[in-house]
Amino acid sequence: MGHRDFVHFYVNGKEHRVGGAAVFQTLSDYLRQDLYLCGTKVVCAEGDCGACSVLVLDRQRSQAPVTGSGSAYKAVNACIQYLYQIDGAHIVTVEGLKAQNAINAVQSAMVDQNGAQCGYCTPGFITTMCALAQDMQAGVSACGSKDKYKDKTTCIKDALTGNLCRCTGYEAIIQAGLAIDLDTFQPVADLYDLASIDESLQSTRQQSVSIQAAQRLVFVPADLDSALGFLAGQPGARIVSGGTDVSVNINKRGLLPDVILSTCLLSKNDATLTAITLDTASNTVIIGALTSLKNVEAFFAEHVPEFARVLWVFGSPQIRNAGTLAGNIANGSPIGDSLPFLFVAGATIDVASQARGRRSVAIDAFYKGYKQLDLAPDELIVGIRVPLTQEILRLYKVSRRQHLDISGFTAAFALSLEPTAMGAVPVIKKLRVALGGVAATVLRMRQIEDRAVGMTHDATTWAILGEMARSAIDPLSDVRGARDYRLTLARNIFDKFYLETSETGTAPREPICK
Amino acid sequence: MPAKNIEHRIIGKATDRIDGPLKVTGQAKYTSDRHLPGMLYAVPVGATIANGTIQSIDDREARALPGVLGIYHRGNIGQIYRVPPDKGFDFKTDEARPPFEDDTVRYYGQFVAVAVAETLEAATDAASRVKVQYQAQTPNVKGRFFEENPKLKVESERGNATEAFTNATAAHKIEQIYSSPAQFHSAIELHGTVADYDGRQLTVYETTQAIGTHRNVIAAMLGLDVQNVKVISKFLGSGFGGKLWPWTHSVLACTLARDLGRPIKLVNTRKAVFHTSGHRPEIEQRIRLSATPQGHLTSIQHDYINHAAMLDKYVETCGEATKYFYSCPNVKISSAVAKRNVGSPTSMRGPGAVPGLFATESALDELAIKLGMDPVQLRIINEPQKDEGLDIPFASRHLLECYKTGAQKFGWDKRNPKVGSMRNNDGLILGWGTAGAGWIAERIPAQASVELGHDGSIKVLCGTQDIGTGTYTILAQIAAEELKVPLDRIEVKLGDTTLPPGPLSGGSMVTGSVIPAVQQAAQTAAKLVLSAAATAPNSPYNGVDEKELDFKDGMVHRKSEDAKAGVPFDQLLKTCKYKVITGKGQSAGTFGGGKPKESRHSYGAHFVEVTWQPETARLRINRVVTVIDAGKILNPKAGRNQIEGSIVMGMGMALFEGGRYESRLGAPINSNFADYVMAVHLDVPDLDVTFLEFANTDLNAYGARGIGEIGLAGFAAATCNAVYHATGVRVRDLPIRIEDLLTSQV
Ligand SMILES: Cc1cc2nc3c(=O)[nH]c(=O)nc-3n(C[C@H](O)[C@H](O)[C@H](O)COP(=O)(O)OP(=O)(O)OC[C@H]3O[C@@H](n4cnc5c(N)ncnc54)[C@H](O)[C@@H]3O)c2cc1C
Ligand code: FES
Ligand code: FES
Repeated sequence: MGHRDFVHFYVNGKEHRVGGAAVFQTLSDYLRQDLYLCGTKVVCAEGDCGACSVLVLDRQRSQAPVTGSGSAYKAVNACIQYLYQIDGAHIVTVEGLKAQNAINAVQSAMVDQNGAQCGYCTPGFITTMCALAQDMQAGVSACGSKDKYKDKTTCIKDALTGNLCRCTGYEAIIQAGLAIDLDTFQPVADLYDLASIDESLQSTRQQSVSIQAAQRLVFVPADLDSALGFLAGQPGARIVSGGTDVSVNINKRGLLPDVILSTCLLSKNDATLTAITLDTASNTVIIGALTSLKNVEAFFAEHVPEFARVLWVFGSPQIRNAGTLAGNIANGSPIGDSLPFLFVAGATIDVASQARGRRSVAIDAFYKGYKQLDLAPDELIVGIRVPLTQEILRLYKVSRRQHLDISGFTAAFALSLEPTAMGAVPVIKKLRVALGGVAATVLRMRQIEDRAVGMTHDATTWAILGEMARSAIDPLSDVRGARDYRLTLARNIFDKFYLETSETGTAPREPICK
Repeated sequence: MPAKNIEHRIIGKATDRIDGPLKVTGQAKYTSDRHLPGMLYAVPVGATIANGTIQSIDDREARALPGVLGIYHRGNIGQIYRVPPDKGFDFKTDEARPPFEDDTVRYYGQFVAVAVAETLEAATDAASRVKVQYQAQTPNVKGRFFEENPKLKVESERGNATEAFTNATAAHKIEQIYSSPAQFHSAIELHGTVADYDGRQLTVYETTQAIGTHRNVIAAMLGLDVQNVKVISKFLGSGFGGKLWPWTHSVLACTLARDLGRPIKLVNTRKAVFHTSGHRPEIEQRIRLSATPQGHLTSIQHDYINHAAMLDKYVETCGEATKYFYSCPNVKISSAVAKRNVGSPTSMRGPGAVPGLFATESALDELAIKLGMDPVQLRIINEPQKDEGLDIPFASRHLLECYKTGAQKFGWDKRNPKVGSMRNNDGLILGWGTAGAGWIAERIPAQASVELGHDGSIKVLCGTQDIGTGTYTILAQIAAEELKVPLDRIEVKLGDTTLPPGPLSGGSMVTGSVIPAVQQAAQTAAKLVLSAAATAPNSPYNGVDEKELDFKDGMVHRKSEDAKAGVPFDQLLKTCKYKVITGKGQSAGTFGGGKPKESRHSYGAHFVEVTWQPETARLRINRVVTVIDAGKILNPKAGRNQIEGSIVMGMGMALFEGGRYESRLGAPINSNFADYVMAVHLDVPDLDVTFLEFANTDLNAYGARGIGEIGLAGFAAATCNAVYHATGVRVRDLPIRIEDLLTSQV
């Protein structure tokens, strides 16, 4: 099959086919400048404020029915979605929410509660809240768990934490979230004839897109073979999955990749790349590389809540809706939030290339230095495997702001204790520790792990281990934390872990939205 | 108790914003949403040095790009004039140098060229390909201004503070330096301009809090007749002071529109806003306090220094509240400015008082601890009977009532003063702190008109702007109240310099200022309709004494009859062949005049609870009780919002916000929303806001004062005081960094 020379998508029920240099613009610019849909605002152009939030039909949540209440639109930041990232998508903007020219239940709650002050952040809030209302109607909480809301206020705050407002102090908006009349809220999916949109998009979905314009080339493969074939011919092409890292670098740091491979169609066509399954025989979770962080969060909320808890404070809902686990791994940052867990869990990365087929790499062998990966220029990450264990697991993220902030320091502990007689101090059987933000890569602290075996699980032991950590690392000072601060944190986190896991431990956990 | 309040129909009632539906549907049109036929995009090039000179500009590659019209710089930009000197607000700019005036670069990001193209993409690309050669010098962006021992200028003095301080015993005095970094307004809407010149008339769509000033400045800088410049700002994505005075982006956009004859859109990037559109300056303040053993203040010395741009001399008047806040016989306030290679500072929400009260209210807490006194008690003891700075009575001062109500709601009496001694149910260490707030209550001149049309329309016209605070709604409320008609009958027109000149949106003065003007306009319009009714030949009331007629629910009727028995005013106008009847109103200003007769301010008290987890050095603001007396609250829905918004901004000021200048390049390195951290939803604590509403009708008939800024005043101090109570660490340099708390022994 020949290649398409245009990307194909829908905005508010209307079809768009865009080719040529125009695909190298962001969705927000396209909406505002080409379609005059100016409700979508651009404020930071890097995913930090949510003013550009639009809704995208999420095919990854395939369990959910596509039409009717509960169908899955998710909010993403249009400023970091280039048009080559949205092939095959149906986008709904604030202008597209209008049902019979009336305002919907979310909009009227915002008017009633005075949730709009200057109003500039408001359209982004409205779209995000419509996704929230749809999820609430379907009984899916914003943190991805299928449990009913336990603490509705926290869940609303969580759902809206990717939306900045400088005027209201948020309280009125939270009240609006609580006041949405779910009985009358008409889900976004009901406003459009999704079946015919789907049919139209289906007609082009099996065809890869190749666009060369303005001295740049973008390829949107329809299947894995095409992707690997393209990479074989264009090794080093910039792979874009969620784009929450790449597109930010384009907007902010002047990154201008000549050759781009966008995985947005792959994730729609190849279920193995987005599925998350538990292989009960090996008790291993197999994660398709292109599944969204949101899906990963939802899955682990049931199986390893501690990991879901870290994903809960990962970026914002919009970032988790777009971003992928593969992107977090391949971005290679020593403060990537998913990494400490993957390190102590002993995860494996599956990569594929046309020339050499598939191979697997243990996560701690994957990083060779600062942003240096064991990943050849013609390889694509296709999956991540995470063995489940019964160990005591604790994950920590320290940042200035609790939410929507890049970490200054991260840590993961997996501990198993020897069974001991009642009342006796337990003895450490096995320990794995990983620290992030203290070196060029996330570090497994093997010396500490070896030393711990056989020691009693008490304050003295953990103080010794903490001191070992402090002397083993050599962190730098940067905007996110001074060297001394990181040294102290590396030391103290061992005490904190002990306090939390000793039976007399009193240190409380931050509440999680669940 | 609140003064006797007059019963109102609409004033003081929780009212939905009349522009709410426009905003929630994305239909409200902001500056950057304007698209004009034939419009070009302009993207400025910012300097990549903070100090030095431009050697050469190579724009060949940029100009050769498809769709690019030109690259403009000092060599080829059209004439830009200077703004005439002016003491008031009419011609105010904080960056007086016209853009591109010389080859000197004085701050990082200063515009040195601008690319113009058919599309935004092309203009952005072109701007990035302009190659500028600089001769760079080491910039000066240093803080720690007192170390340089600058000469201080005395701003206010009474008694002999130096002597009283020297004579006081060490146990009863404190001397400390407090600092706060550059803080950025970070209004969500980016600064931008759409300018359109038709050969005679220049229309400027602008993100401005002061359309009138903007028009005057642009007319002066472009050399145009002020009559031929129109500034429009229908909706503004807030400003917090950052959009009060014109910035260079607008001058460039208007100049290009004038010279190229095509409309120009120029919207700053977020980074350019950080670099070129103002900030609250970095400040150092030295506070010296002394007291009697019983806690009576015997002296206050308040010295402050703020950084200013090389060519401008912005002074942050940190001592504003110090003059009147407490009773003290010996007070000396002095200031200085430290010239730095930074963009021009400007007013930011609560200029002067907000940083000033951070220092003084922190110092007062330190004094209370030193004296072993409860901090609320210390404030009660030092409550003044009059404004001792100006020696005039207070118009309405209810600070102690604010403390009393707040302490009760917060449970302050359960506070154990010992550091680190309190825990909550989860075992987290608690810190409780308090501080006071104050802000001016003034009026600036305003005009307004009310038009009653034969089509039944009722229009309020005022050349002010709604920056998000709800001015559209307030004006509609006032007119509805005065005309005795339902709110939805009123249409409000703002944000256009062809309307009767209204106030700038700053200093929390709009509401207080427009009330008399709109009241008068509405009353006059109603009166004129009645006299029309009484005199027009076709009128059913022809010959009736005007005094026996009334205007209610849109009906003209005899006082002796029910309104329902009257004639709808539009019908009357039609019958009498009047198209429209206009009532005009105006209010005089009180701000910036001579010495006032009374001291007019609003007051408040904050109570803050923080939680502290030493192991991971985790600090959170958990609970806030804020009590404000700003007189009558015209719309409680909008009022609460203002204070909650201020508190959340105050959390940012206390915990996160601060520009950091890199010393080698002089660049503010955290010039984006990933690194300039503000509070998000999940940071929001339990907020309890109360208004006391002591209505004082001195300023206007409703007794309303502004509420846009007071909520931010004192909040950072209350937080630092709470942090000390939890951790034993006194933070005097904002924002509170977790690193600073690692010395905590708790
Ligand atoms: C506002 C904001 C907040 C953020 N908060 C956090 C946070 O709290 N914690 C955190 O860890 N990160 C955070 N990030 C960073 C980013 O969101 C994550 O790293 C995310 O996981 C990236 O995934 P992505 O799919 O969007 O990656 P992309 O941007 O698409 O790609 C990232 C990198 O991975 C490569 N890549 C992508 N897919 C593949 C593949 N299949 N095979 C090989 N290489 C691939 C790309 O070439 C690129 O180098 C934040 C980003 C933003 C904008
Ligand atoms: S504009 Fe801020 S997230 Fe897109
Ligand atoms: S209402 Fe102004 S930023 Fe949210």
